[in-house]
Amino acid sequence: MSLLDVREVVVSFGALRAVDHVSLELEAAQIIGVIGPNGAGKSSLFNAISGATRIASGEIFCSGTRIDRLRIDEIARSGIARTFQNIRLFGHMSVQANILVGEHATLHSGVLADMLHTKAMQSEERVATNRAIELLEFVGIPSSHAGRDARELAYGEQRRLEIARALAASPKCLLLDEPAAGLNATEKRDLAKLVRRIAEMKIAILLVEHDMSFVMPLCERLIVLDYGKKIADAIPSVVRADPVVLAAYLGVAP
Amino acid sequence: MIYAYAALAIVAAVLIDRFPSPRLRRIVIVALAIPLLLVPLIDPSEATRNLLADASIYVALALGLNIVVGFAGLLDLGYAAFFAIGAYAYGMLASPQFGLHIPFWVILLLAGPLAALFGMILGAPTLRLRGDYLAIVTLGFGEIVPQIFQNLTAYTGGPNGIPGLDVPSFFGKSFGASALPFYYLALALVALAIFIAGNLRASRLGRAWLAIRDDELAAKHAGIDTTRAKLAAFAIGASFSGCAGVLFAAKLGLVSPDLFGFQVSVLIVSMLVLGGMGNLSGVVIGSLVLTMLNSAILPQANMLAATLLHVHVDLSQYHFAIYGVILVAMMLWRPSGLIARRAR
Repeated sequence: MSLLDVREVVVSFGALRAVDHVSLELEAAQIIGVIGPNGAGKSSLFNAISGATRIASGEIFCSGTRIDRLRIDEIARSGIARTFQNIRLFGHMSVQANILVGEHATLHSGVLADMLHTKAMQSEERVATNRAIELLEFVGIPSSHAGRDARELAYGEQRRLEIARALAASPKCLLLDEPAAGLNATEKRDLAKLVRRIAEMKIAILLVEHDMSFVMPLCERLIVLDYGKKIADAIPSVVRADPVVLAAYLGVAP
Repeated sequence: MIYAYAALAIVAAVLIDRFPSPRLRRIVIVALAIPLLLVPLIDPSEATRNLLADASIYVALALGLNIVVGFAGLLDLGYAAFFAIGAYAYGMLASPQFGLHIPFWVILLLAGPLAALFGMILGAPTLRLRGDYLAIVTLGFGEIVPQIFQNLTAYTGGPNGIPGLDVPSFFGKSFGASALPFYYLALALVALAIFIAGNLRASRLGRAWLAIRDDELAAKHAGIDTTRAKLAAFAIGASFSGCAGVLFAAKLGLVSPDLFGFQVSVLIVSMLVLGGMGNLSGVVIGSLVLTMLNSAILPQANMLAATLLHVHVDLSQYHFAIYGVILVAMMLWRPSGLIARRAR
């Protein structure tokens, strides 16, 4: 079984089927892109996998465990981390604290230890803080920014901080929702490099993106959604030439 | 003398917040704690001791509510309910009411867990609520609890409350009529509250609260069990209120339902708004300023008005109007409180 296994998932909002019997499989270290016109159901699919939306039917497995009936935080702890289309950082917390929140599930200190700052808790915090700084540098944010409020960071840095926060949970699978949105050409190039380095850490990556020049060279496979249905699932060069995909994007009858 | 104390405490709180180094901060806190211990000895009038004891109880209350509102961002307008539960626990267990005379210290220790339990009972149904809706439900809870105490006449003495509560003693030595032991106890509770809240803030649980306050959905996606974190906030916040309630009841020697009404909850929230939510020294300042305003500044102003202007007013009757003006002024000029929260 694949690391992430999505089977025949349906997401409905009333009469609308935002995701209509979509299946996909994702292996460790793989980068797969989900593309499609606006309203095709890409974000709904992401919300279904990460638990933000309940699925109407279908099954989702993460490394063999069924996760589609779990709560959001349980799904996160089972190894799925995500970023958001419109950045959702903890704006009034420091950059470092944002990453430490990401590490939440990997830490073990209990309420009493937190109240008393026991020796064990303090040493766990030291390790966690060091890891936070490492992650900060890994995503390319200078560690001198660690103490600043997250909302004070530049836009591109906020996007990268969100990725660092997601990585802090040591996920098996990372869902990136339009990670390149609003970035300039240089930032996009750096982001693509970063995504590749994350994949090298044996993390499976699923990403939603509009920017074809970003997705095409980066992704091993592309999944195309249209009106909630999967209309293509192939390597980028094949998808680019697929008449059904072109029709969906350009509105030409196939 | 009282003003000197208040000024000192305020300066202390500001200074503590400005020191970046933890060791220096610890030294300053110790240096400033010593005069706090000595103030009632320098000015031994019973009125001062009483005022200091009340002020410290309110600081402890505000620090407890700060965990719920300031850290976890859960607007609780019924916080006085836990204060009432602590006070009535002492009222019913250490008085002629049932002939139970359980020692003060035992009840003080049990009041924390008891109030924490009620904190979770209140918290459980509100977990899905946020903002306005949460405020309304907690406000209801804050009204229901004193109403229950008022109507369970057979157990609680009804509207008259329970008088003649036991005077605590310490190793056989009675507290007597002095407020001084209560001042020191309340001060110890404040110190404990500052220690615990400060530690929690820089911990896994504290970060989970701040994350929930900033963005609950993102917090869930980071793997935080928001249900547990919120219940922990309600429980820990309420436990301080419960202990403060026991001190309050034992000091006063009686409990009655009108002592724990909505105005008490509002007063504590106002302290947080004034001082700066989430910031410990801000909370201490906010609660000191409002208590001093109530118990010292307004009566003094009355006397000044009478002697200088020959106007006889009772400004204490207008204290709610004065809070209102203060809150509006804060919203306009310093929306994050006298001492704004800084990033951690």
